[in-house]
Parts: sequence; structure tokens; C-alpha cells
Amino acid sequence: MIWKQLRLPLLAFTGSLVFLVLGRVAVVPKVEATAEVSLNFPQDIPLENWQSVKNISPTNFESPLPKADQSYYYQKSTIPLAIEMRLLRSGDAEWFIEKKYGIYESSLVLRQQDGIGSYALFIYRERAYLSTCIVPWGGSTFTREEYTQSQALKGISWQRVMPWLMGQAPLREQGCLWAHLSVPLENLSPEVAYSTLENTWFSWYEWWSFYLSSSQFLTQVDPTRQ
Amino acid sequence: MKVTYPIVTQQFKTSPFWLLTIGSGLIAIHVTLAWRGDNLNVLGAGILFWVTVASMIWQRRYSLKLESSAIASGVGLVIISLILLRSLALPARGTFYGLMPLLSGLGVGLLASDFRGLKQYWGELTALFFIGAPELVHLFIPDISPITAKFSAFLLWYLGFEARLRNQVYIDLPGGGVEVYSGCSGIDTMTHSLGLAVLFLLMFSSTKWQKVIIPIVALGIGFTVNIFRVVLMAALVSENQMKAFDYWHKGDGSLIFSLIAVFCFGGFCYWVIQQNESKQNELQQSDLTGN
Repeated sequence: MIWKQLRLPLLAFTGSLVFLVLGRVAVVPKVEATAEVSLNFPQDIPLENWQSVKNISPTNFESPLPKADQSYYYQKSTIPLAIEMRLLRSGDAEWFIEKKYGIYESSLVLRQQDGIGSYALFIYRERAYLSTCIVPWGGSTFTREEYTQSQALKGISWQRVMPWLMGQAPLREQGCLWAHLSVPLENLSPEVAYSTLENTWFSWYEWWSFYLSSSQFLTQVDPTRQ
Repeated sequence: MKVTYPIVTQQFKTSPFWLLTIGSGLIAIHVTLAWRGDNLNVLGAGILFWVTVASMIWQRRYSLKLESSAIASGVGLVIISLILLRSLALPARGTFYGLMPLLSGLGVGLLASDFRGLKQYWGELTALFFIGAPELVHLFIPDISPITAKFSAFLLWYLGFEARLRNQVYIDLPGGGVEVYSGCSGIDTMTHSLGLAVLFLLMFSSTKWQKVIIPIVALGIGFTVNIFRVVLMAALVSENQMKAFDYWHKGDGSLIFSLIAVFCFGGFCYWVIQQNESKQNELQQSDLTGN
């Protein structure tokens, strides 16, 4: 009974809403939905067992990559460690390794760490590298397939639906924070270099996941959390 | 004392009036989005399809069952709210935009006639699906450009060009080559023609046999016309006519091929209608003579 009385007002309400939106759609200027990714990189990050240094020698080891958003240098006895951090809007760190180092998936050592995610190891001109990308929804991925899959599964949340509907933000979170660690192979065998990089990466990730959860990275990647 | 309203205000007190308002408003939103997003293909086809759907509903306006429950109306309202919210971002392409006509139809259908009543709109809903189908087709159908490239290269070779197919989608000619990428595969033209076939089947009575053959012919025309388009592109590149190439590839020329496909299919439909009419006439004649 109540429904019979309610139906007409409901239809009238819907109809008015439709015409309001029509009016707005007809006049509103067009803006593109983009995700702005930016991050305040801290100057000094403590790293267990490593001594933070301003520079390592050789400072400018031959890197084919564009300038890092922030570089970090550490020293442990005779081993110098360089960590380059970059924000990638594409989320595709694999692309840089392919294009800039000419190293493809088949010649990479891809490993998986429980609770974090995957990372890639490779050797280029007497240096051992560990490369992986920290994704905004937690964890790390390296290959673009992994990134896309992980994004499709976890990059989406209920808070994002409203801004997506309004055209203010993409439905899925985008981009990642690319960590690129390297040590020279002068005094190290590749196996030792790899395990050094791996152990460093695990504590490095721990620091960053805590930092990201409390920093502006997520708020700026994701306007819904402002 | 009895209050009398002028006729205009009395309309406000009927549910069909508001259903009509909601429906036409949603149509206007969809068309406006295509227009503002410069999506000319959808704009043209969209108007044609919407007019057809509106006339199909209008013809049956007295026989439609227009009662809905609270739950169905609620669902309809949610669907329409989603459309309205998403429309604020002015989409003119993409999956959601492609689904918008169908979702609009479902939303209004639920507000008007409950879940069970949706049955009476199956034809309209099918037609609405085809407005957005070009945006959705890549979700269901793999890229057919290798097939398009193969047929085009064969036709070029047959026409006397020294065409060679490389890596499935590259057609090499002595003076240059083209890549048949997914945008050139012809799937758009085919989807569009198929939509027209569906409209034709919904609007005109047809035999069972025709219901099968008309969509197939539509797909065939779409595919064939596109083959000729690719052949023309490749020939122009081969002759180094880049200005002509741009005209036929992206300029007004690219629309002419859609036009040709539509005309071919229109001619076929006209022939089908004439066939049906002459059959009808024969039956009437035999009725008259008593045979």
C-alpha cells in the first residue's frame, strides 16, 4: 500500500535527477582523470648492518638508467651498496631492464619472498643487481604480468568506487616505487652478492612498507584517502 | 470544492509520464556524451538505434504492463544512479560507456515493469546492447586482424600487386607496407552491420531461414568491405600516396567505407523485404482465386 503511494514520487525524483545530470553533462568542461604520483623521499634511511655514506666509489658506476628520484649509498667493510629509488607511473620496471640493460626475462633470476613478493636478480658489467617495484596496495612485483595481475586483484577497493564513478580517479591504484639495489662484484662471488642484496632488500622493504603506510605516497596516489 | 488542474500538470501525476521523462533523459545523456566526446560512429548509430527502440516502445504503449515492485524499482534506481554518477566524468568510450544503453534500458525497464516484466522488452534490450557493442566486442572476440591481413594480401596478389604477408599482420609491397592492427581488423564494421541486422529482424517479420542468413550476410558485408579498405590502404602506401592514405585512413574517407557497408546491407534488406512482400502477394492471390 505504502509502495503504491511512494512509487510516483520516486519516479518523479529519479526523473528530476536524470535531467539535472543531463544539464550538467551538457555544459561541464571536460577534465581527464589522472593519478598524480609523487612522494617525499627521506634523505637518510637507517639500514641494519650498513653504514650510510654520502658517496661510494666509483660514484658514477656506469648506469644506463635515467637519474634516480633519490639515491642512497651504504658501506659494509669493503662492500659499497647503491640503492636507486624511482616512482614509476606505469608500474613497469621490467621495461627499463629490457630497454636500458638489454636483459630479458629469460636471462633474469626471478625469485619470490613470502609476505613481500617477487624480485629480479641479474649481473651487468661487473655489478650484481636486485630490482623490484613496491606496489601501493602492498608487496612487490617485477614483471609486467605480475604487476597487472596483482593490480587487477588488489588494486581495487570500495573506497575507490565513488571517485571512479565521478571520474576523479582511476578505478585501480596505479604505479609503483621501483627499488634498484646493486653491489660491485670486485670482492664478491655472484652467489654471495645475490644473498647480500636479498637480505638488504628484505629489511629495505620493511622500512619502506612502514614509511609508505604512514606517508603521503598513498594519499597522493589515491585521492580517496585525502 | 473540487480542484481542477490544467492538463499539463495532470500529466505529472502519472507514472508513464515520469518513466518517459527518465527514459528520454537517459537517451539524451548517452547521445550528449558521444557528441561531446567526438565519438561520431556511436553518435550516428546511437541515434538510429534509440529512435528505433523508442518507436518500438511507442507502438506498444497501450499494451505494456507498467507495474513494478519496490525491490525491482530499488534495483532500477541503483542502476540509473550508477549511470548518472559515471556520466559526470563524461565518458565517450570504453566498457562502461558501451554498457550504458543496455544498463539504461534495464534500469528504466525495472522501474516500469518489475523483473518479470523485463521479458516484454527483450527486443529493445537486444537493440540497446548493440549500440554499445563496438566498445564491448574486444572483450569477447579475439583479434581477427591476421585473418583480415591474409585475405587482403590474397586479394592484392590477385589484383596484380606483389604482396607478401609477414608476421601475420604485415603486408609488404614493393613500394612500402602496412600493418593491419586491431583497429583495422574490420571487427567494428562487422559489429555495426550485425547491429543493423538485429534492428532489421526486430522491425520486420522474417522467416526462420532469414533470421539465420541476415546476420551472416551482415557480418560478411562488414568483413568484405573492410578487406577492400585495407587493400586500398596498402595500394596507396605502395604508390607512396601518403596524403590520400591519410584521407582514407583517418579523414572523412574512413567514414565512406562504413557508408558503403551500410548501403550494401540496406540493399540486401530491401531485396529481402520485396521477396517477403511478393510471397505475401502470391498467398493473397491464391486466397482470392480459391486455390
